[in-house]
Amino acid sequence: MNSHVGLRIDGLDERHPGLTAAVAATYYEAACVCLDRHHRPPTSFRLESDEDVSDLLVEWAVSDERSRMAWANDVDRTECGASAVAIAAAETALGMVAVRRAETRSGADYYLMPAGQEADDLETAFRLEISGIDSGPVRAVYQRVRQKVEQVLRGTSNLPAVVGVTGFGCARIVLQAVEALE
Amino acid sequence: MSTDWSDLHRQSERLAADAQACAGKRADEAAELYRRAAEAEEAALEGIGAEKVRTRGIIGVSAAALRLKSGDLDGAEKVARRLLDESALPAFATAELKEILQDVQGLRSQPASRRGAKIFEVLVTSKQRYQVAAATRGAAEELAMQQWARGAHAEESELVAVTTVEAERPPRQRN
Repeated sequence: MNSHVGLRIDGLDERHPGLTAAVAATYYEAACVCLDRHHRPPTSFRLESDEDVSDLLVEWAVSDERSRMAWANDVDRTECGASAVAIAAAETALGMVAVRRAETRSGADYYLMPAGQEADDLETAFRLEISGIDSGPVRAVYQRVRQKVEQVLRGTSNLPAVVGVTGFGCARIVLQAVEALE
Repeated sequence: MSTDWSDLHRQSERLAADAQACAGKRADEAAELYRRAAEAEEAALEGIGAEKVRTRGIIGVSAAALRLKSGDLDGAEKVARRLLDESALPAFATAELKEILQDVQGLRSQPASRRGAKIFEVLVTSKQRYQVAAATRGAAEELAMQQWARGAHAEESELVAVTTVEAERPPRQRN
C-alpha cells in the first residue's frame, strides 16, 4: 500500500484538456464544500483502484459561507464535488486524464485517455462514470460501485468505462475499470 | 482555414460548460448557450467519418442532448431520429437516443410551466421507496440515493436495486 501520496483536486484544467478553467474551478469549489461537511484539511482518503490501495492526503481551501450557500443543493454539490475527486483519482491511480466532455440526458460524461497520448477520436477512450455519496458508510460506496458497474454491463452505456465513486463522509474513493463487449 | 470535428467539439464543450454554469440563475441565457453548443456539436458530427462508430455515437448523443437541454424539442427529435436511422450506431447510443425521444414526448405533453420538474418514485432497497421531484430520471435517482445514504437505515439495509418510475404521469397529448 502506498501511504500519503497527495491527491490534487485543484487546477484540474491545467492537466486535463477536457476541463475548462471555469468547470475545474466549479468542481473544486463544490468539492471543498463537500469535504468541509465532514473533515478539516488535510485529510487522508483511501483510494482503491482494482487491486491497489493507497492513502492519499487531500488538501483544500476551507469554504466560506457564500460558497456553502451557493452549494446548498445536495445533488449538485455532491455530483460536482465527486467529479473533481474522481478525475483527480483517475490521474493519480491510472495515469489517465480527461480529454473530452460529452453531454448526456442527465448531465455530462468525461472521456479518459492515458496522459500524453494523442488521439483524434474517441474510439479507444474510457468513459468515466462518476458518482458521489455525501454521508454514509463505506458499504454504501461499494454498493454504489456495484450499481454503476451493472449499469455499464447492461449495455446501455459507453464501453470501456471506469467507474469512480467517492464517499465524502467515509473518506473513500473507489475506481473500477469495466471492460465488456457491447 | 479548415475546422475539424475536434475544434468544433471543443467549442461545443465550452458553450455547454458555460450553459451549465448559469443554468440555475439565468435560464434564458443558458438555453441560448445550449442551442449554440448543439449547433457546434452537430457541425462536429458532420466531420466524423462513418468508420468511427463509437465517436459518432458519443457526439451524436451529445448533440441531441444539447438540443433537449436548450428546450428545442423538435431539434432534439430530428437529430435523434436521423442518427437512429444509421445502421452502424452502437448499442449504447441507440439506447440513449431512444430515451431522449421519450423525454421529448414526455415534455411535449406537459404544460410549459411544468417542464423541467417531474415526480419520480425511486425504489432504493427492497423496502425503501422515495418520491422525489427532479428534472430527469438520473437526477431523481441521485437524490433518492442521497436520502437513503443519510437515513438511519443505511447501515442495516441492503441496496439491491434502483427502480424508478415516473409517479405523476403527464396528461395525454391531444393531436
